Amino acid sequence: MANTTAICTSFKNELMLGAHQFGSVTIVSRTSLTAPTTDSFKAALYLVSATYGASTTAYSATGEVSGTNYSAGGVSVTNATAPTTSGTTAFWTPSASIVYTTVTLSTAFDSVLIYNSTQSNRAVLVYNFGSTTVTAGTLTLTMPSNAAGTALINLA
Amino acid sequence: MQVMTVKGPYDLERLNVTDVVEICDNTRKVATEFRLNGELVRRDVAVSMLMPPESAAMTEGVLS
Repeated sequence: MANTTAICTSFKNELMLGAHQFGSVTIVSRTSLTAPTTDSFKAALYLVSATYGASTTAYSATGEVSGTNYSAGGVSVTNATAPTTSGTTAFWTPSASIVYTTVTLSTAFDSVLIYNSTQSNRAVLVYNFGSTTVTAGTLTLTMPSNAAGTALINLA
Repeated sequence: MQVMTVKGPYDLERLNVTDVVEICDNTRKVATEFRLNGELVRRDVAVSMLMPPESAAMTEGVLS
């Protein structure tokens, strides 16, 4: 049995758990080093005209949708399931759909930014689902299957 | 059954309801449109995020 070059699967998972620190970064206290809390995440919607993507570093109200029953910053993301692994992939998906209830968003929007509202609104990912509008209705973003390769975040 | 619209609650029977389905690269989107005498009075959207935005690029085996 030869040794193999690899990034350890447990490390990928621990990255999402915040277990490693290769450089210094200022974070909001997680209360305890031995019994830390879980960060909170939120989901904000952005207009078609906005330019969010891989270079986005944090939530911003610039280009965010506005309308009836939509609050700047968006809604909370349910995070009841910790990152886990399968094979050599670590992955994570919000544990419930993201729902904006009874909103009117008349200007076309196409993207959601998920960000860490505990840690200075740092950006996690941007997902473009195509242009749409909502009129006095509910927008439901149903998450992909929480499995290796299909989860919202995969470290493969 | 009544449905809340921009014009207040209406009996569902009075509304013309259509589903508009769009399938993009990584999403399936269903817009349910409620019309009253041809006027759009409510539009719900359900987006199924079918795939991750991308697989994070953690390159393995780069050592030569």
